[in-house]
Amino acid sequence: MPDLETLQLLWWILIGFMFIAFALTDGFDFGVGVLLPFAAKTDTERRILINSIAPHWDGNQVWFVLAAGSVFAAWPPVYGTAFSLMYVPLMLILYALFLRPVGFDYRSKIEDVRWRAFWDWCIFVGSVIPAFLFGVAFGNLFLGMPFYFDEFERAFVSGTLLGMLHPFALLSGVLSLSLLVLHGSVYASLRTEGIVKQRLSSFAFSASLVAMLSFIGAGIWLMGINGYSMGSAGTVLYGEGLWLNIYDNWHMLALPLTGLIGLVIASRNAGSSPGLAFLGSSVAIIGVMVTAGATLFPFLVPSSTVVNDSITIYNGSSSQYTLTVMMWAAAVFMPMILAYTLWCYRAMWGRITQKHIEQNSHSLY
Amino acid sequence: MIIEEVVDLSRLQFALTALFHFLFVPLTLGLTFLLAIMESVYVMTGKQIYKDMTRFWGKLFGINFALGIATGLTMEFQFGTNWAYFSHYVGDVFGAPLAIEGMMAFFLESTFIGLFFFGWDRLSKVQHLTVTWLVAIGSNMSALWILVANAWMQNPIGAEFNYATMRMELTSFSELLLNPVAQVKFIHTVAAGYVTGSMFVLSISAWYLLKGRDLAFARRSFAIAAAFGFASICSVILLGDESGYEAGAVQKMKLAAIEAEWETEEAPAAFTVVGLPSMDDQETHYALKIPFVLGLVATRSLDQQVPGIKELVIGSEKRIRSGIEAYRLMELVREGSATDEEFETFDRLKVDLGYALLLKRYTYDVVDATDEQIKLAALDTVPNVPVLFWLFRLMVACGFWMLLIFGLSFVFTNIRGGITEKRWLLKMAFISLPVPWIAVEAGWIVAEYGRQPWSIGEILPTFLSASTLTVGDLYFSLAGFLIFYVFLIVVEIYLMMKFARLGPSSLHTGNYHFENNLQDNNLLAEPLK
Ligand code: HDD
Ligand code: HEM
Ligand code: HEM
Repeated sequence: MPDLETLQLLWWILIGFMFIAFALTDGFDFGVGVLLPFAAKTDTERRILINSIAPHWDGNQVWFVLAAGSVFAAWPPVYGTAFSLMYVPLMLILYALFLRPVGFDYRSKIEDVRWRAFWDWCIFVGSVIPAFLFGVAFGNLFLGMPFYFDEFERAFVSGTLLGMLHPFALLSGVLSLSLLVLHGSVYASLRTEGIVKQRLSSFAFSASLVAMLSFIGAGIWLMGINGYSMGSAGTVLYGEGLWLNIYDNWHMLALPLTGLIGLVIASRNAGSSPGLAFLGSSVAIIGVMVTAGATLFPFLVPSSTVVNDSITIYNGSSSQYTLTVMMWAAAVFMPMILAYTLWCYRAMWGRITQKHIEQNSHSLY
Repeated sequence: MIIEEVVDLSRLQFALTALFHFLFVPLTLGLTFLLAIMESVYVMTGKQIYKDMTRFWGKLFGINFALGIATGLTMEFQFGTNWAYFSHYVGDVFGAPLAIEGMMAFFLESTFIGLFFFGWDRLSKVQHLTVTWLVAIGSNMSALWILVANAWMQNPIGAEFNYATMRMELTSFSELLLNPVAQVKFIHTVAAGYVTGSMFVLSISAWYLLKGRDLAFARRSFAIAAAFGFASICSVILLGDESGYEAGAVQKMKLAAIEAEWETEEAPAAFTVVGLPSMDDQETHYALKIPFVLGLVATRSLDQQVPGIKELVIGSEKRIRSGIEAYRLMELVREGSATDEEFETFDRLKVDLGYALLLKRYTYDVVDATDEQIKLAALDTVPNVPVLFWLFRLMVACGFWMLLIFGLSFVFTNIRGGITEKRWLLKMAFISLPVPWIAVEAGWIVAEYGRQPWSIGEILPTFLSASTLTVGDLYFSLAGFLIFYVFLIVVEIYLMMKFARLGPSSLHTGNYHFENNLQDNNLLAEPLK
């Protein structure tokens, strides 16, 4: 068996990978959902957009389910504490997520203008709320969360919705929303043509500007926020600007820079070369998420009530045996998942044209 | 401390959302297999009608699947949101099958489902058939892993308590996986799913036959459903018997409650067919009994006793007292002030620690519990007898009813003259549509409500498992679930009925009943506002 610390680090990387895979794949589904009422005007245009993600959104969403399940298996206290702290926002995310599967599937089932308009709005709400709240939830981790453990390791939480709407968290929400809108618009540009594609590229441009501003803004803001850092002998330090400690080593600045470069590439190529723009937005998402994860490291859920009760990757993991078993499972299944997912994308790849949509009005969404 | 109202509302919410999820799950489990069978026939014979069958039943399947996913998402998060101490206490064991379920099953099923619907023109026949089988295998794998997790809650083996981390830790993954309860549970539950899918196809096809519509299509669908359903209901009933046996081995209290067996009887015990169990009087009034049968089912022998509820409560009391000692020693061990001898005693008694935790409802310190409180806690180990007693009988009755329906349907589809003339049987098949759902929901309530007061059998009481939320949080979330779920089910049933009425004509192949009257309306050519 590998030693415990290595396993904890490996699982941090692996779960980070799952969240990033979720953002990279289901991210464009959310983006397309948000753009649906704006980038497409006729029913056929909307169906073009929806069918550009139709075969894949479900598989993409599983990254989210898998990430949550893996947090449960690898860091049980994080799963229990963070999710009950964020109870109300998480419920809102869940309710919103109900609307996507039914929206996609039921919309096409009846040819009626009002029926379809209703589901279009459901898809919009089901995309915009999670895309925004994911960022809000992540932003809250930087602010510390109100919980402590009693002597039997039972977590006492006192999170409220209002408590979570700190302006910094809202800014993170804007960041995640704009990133996903950008990602969705460049993805859909790859699979559409004509007027829809033109509209998409102008959305991509503004979204990348918003993302850039909010990312830089959040970075500056962190200097003024009380951060957490590991002190000696397992104690936790708490104080202004501590989150930015990692940048004492200036090499680490490569992470946020990667995010920014990705955004620049995406915005400059949004109109002319969607392939490059998609690469750019993917790099941007990876850069932003890795920056956020590395800045928090090794913390997972810092506590604002009792700072020493903060959960880190070291004090919040499962046992060595469980982590090892799960590592083997991941080593077997993750490559298989990646392989067949790619195969499916390849099988379904191609531009969705108006003609194709109109000829298949009863078999497509 | 423990807010009882939060616990009760959390239980209510979990029960409602799980029962709701399980409205869609069994149909998915059954239909994926039926679709794979139909498509296999298509690929082997090349007959278009089997492709149409796959696509039409696939359409209904899609309507159901969307809600299976939506409601499954809730389940994945609820252990964390509502059962935080549960997650801490057993996450090391319980999280693993859940995560593996994601890697091994959900990805398979959800990645290929898109190709099932949209890949007809892009894939070769054999490729598409493979995709359909992968979806079926994926959904069955997901049932396997979630039931491994659930079986561990009923029969927690392969794990040990660690006092330093205050939680259960996995000691043997293979024991977790090969849990005998998991095996019977898996087969009983997926077979129940196949029964549900078969009844769905059987019943709707019977309706077409009664209406005299799309006869060739309906007769073939009916025949496949009858054969598959008959095989499945036989295994459900056989494996139901097996579940009873496993429950007799590991969950004696649940079995005694299902049978409303208050006193231990001489072996072999009699089986109570009906009666009126009463929690207050601790006896079953007007019991009608068949000698020997319970003993046979529960122990597979004529000479072993099946312990009754009252005897089991006395056993619980003993274990509570030994648990109190374990709890006292645990505090010493955790402080580091235990002697070697105390440590050994703790190690021996820690299996009863869960019983001591039952006292947390009455006293925080546990070690200071009075005799009165110990008696109350021991009585808490009895689940709700009348509910289990009646729902179990309801499930079994549904089982035998469906055995009859599938049996007759199977026989008549395979003899001369065929099924179309047996209108009485078609009518019976049609009205049996809701029966499998009644059975599965009853079955789950028996399994889960019968596990109370434990969330992890004999290890962790349910009331301790809950998160420290407020009552307001729970009213908010319950109201949300209620609103959304009622809305979703109304839309789903509306669409199901619409497409079931339309039948295979909804495929627009030009070969079916309504096609001549259906014109494509151009309602949607103009821009939307
Ligand atoms: C015996 C079968 C069974 C049982 C007991 C459960 N499920 Fe389930 N679940 C399925 C069988 C299933 C399925 C057949 O695989 C579903 C149903 C319809 C579907 O789309 O897949 C599904 C869907 C489904 C999804 C959506 C997956 C996706 O996006 O593809 C999630 C996240 C869960 N479930 C999670 C749970 C959890 C956490 C449960 C425990 C309380 C649970 N399910 C009980
Ligand atoms: C989908 C099928 C299922 C149904 C219909 C179902 C039904 C129920 C019901 C009725 C309860 C309430 C019992 C009570 O509080 O009195 C419950 C509780 C619970 N069930 Fe299930 N269950 C299902 C599957 C599962 C699975 C697969 C797991 C675990 C993997 C599970 C874990 C739990 C937990 C943690 C609780 C809450 C704690 C408790 O009340 O014991 N359930 N379920
Ligand atoms: C006719 C004879 C049947 C018998 C003797 C039987 C027996 C049982 C028993 C003893 C349990 C509880 C297992 C436990 O608590 O661990 C159970 C649960 C269950 N039953 Fe049945 N059953 C029968 C028919 C059916 C039918 C017809 C269906 C549905 C089509 C069904 C669906 C279920 C489900 C979904 C559960 C919960 C999951 C589980 O615990 O396995 N049962 N059954």
